[in-house]
Amino acid sequence: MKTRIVFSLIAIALVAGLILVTLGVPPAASNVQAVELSRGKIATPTPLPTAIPGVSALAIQKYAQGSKVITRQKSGFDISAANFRYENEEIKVDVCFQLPSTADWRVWDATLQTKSGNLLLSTIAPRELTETLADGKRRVTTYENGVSWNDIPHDGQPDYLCETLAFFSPTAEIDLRGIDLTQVSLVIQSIGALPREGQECAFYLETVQSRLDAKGLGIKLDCVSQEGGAQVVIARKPENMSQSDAETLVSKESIESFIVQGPWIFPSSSQ
Amino acid sequence: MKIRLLIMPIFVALLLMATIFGSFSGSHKVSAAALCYGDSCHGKNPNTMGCGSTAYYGAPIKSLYRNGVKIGEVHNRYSGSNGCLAQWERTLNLSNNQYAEGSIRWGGINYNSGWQTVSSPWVIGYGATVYTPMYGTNSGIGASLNCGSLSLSGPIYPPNPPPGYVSGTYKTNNCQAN
Repeated sequence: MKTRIVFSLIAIALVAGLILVTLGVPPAASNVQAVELSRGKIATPTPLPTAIPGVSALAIQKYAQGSKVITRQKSGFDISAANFRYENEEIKVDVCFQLPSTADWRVWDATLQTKSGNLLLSTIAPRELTETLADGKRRVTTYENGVSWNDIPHDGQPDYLCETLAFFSPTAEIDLRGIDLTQVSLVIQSIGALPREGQECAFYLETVQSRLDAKGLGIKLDCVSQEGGAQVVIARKPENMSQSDAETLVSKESIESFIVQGPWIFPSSSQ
Repeated sequence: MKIRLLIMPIFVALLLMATIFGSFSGSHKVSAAALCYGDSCHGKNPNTMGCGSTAYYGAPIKSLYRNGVKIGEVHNRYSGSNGCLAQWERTLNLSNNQYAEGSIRWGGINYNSGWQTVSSPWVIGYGATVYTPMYGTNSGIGASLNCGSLSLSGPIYPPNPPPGYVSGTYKTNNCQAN
């Protein structure tokens, strides 16, 4: 009889543990926004409080080409810019910033203000990326002639990303060659980290849904991960809310979930 | 007997705690396992093969504009040797509901030896993406041309299957080599 009771208790314990693990309930002490890439959760775009001043300025030195480095701080961390130049019928500038997390960060939106008008982003080209590998080494990836990487011992410095932003004129009225590059301003409105492939549904069903719930909007999302992407649908919304309005709200919350707003403003005259 | 009766509940309680908390901490240590590498990734999807978790941008992000308004982007994505050693194209929608297409092409100066494509049968919302199956080789992340476009009016498809190749306005406005 006693043996039966003991075995029953053990069985209950095992089943309870299995159920909780299956449901994916986090341990009480864990941060609910913890990065858990292996389980499909995405990294929160919130900058970590460990941003170290000077990393971006140090990283951009090799791309500055003798020009002065301009560093601006906003939303808790620095972005450095240097080397405004005219190249291949575009105006380009290099930027570097410390990666706020292991998510897939990049400059999200930027413009180049000139006296003739604003120039638009053409391309955002990765130049150099550092990442800390699972074995503790540091991988330095460069993109000058295709993608190539070099794994080196870690020096303890935070990981960073350098990119080249290229701008074009939206109208024929602005002659790029005539622009005085000592009188322009780079404005980085935001940086962002889209959910990586395979993490989209976790992003919408957890991060975006929790933001919608917190605002009491009455919108419920559904998401199916398929080959080639994820299909996100609004499964439920208030009757008095149009589909279009619901979609706009979902878009707004999703954008705010993966970008960090600036602006970081870099007047080239500071060079 | 009394000792056994005392020990058993303690044992059960410890087992319960170990089962619950041990399982949790264990699940947080599971590493993202890539299910393919190089050649074996070719033609497979990055999301289902676990390649997205190690993915980065491999080439300039190409902005797509319509009437001077940015409506999306074309991405070259790659997972390095610590992941899947493969690459693919991803098209990002930055406007209201649109249909999307994308392709990654490789081989020769015209990138017309082979391709992988994607075309969304449904509209995708702002910030949503579609991506192609992977182009993977054991020799590394090779040269590729990545193209994509977006449409308000209906499903769209990548143009000019190999051995045809993209050129002209479409190549200028919608494609980016890595």
